[in-house]
Amino acid sequence: MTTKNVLLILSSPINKLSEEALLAVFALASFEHHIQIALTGEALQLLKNPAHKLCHMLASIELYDIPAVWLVNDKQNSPMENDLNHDHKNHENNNNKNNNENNHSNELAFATLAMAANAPDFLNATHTFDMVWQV
Amino acid sequence: MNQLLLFITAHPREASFSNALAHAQKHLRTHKKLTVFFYADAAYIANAYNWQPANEPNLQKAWQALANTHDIPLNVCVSTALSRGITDVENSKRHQIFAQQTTQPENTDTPHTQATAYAHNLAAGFELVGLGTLAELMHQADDVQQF
Repeated sequence: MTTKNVLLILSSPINKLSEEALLAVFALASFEHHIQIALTGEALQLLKNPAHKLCHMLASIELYDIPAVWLVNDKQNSPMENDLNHDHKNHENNNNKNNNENNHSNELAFATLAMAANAPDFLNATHTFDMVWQV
Repeated sequence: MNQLLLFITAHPREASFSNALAHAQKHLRTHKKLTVFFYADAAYIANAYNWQPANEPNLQKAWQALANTHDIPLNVCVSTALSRGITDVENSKRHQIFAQQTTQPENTDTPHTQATAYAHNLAAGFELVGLGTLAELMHQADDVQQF
């Protein structure tokens, strides 16, 4: 009996399949498999919507001993990256204005995602997993 | 022993799904141990009402034949199958899923629909299981490949 290292890469626009993929890796993590989640491509748009259900799901990864999500932006200094930085600042400003429970939850989701800015060299890292699953 | 787990998520119409079948057939020519788990859109393969034109390969029958020959359970994730309208009798009872019959009574334009029996359309050889089974199969496997 061996635990497996699984990398889930969410790259398509977020939809039902993304949610199903997260549910699957959460279940695998519950059975001691090692999970790493990465967001890239169109899925990075998720960061613009911290109230999204998937953000809340990602906020719970610590419960499954899943390390911080990797944010993989393959276009350095792209408009996407600037958008994300801009949105992050806006989000912080919004939280300062209104500190209700809902915003606290959103902040938690965003913080979990933002933690992973120091993802390792992505292409090299993918070779170290037993299974790479791209959605 | 080299036990291989195929974790299949592609829709049966995608090339990746056909590749999984080819890979399974190739693996079984040289090794004996293979397990399979259909998840997400791959669950569509378990719909008994799938129909294929004669000039297209029938992947469902191909998987059934492979499973029958090599005694391989065709595991399908129960939740992703149910959300795609695929169920067995047990889950129909549990979730109160009924087959419906629509009739057109005389002297009225309004069709009448009534539940007739528990619905079931899981194709032979396929089995609805939970994600715990996937985790266990993954533990047992020497190699895992996703399609």
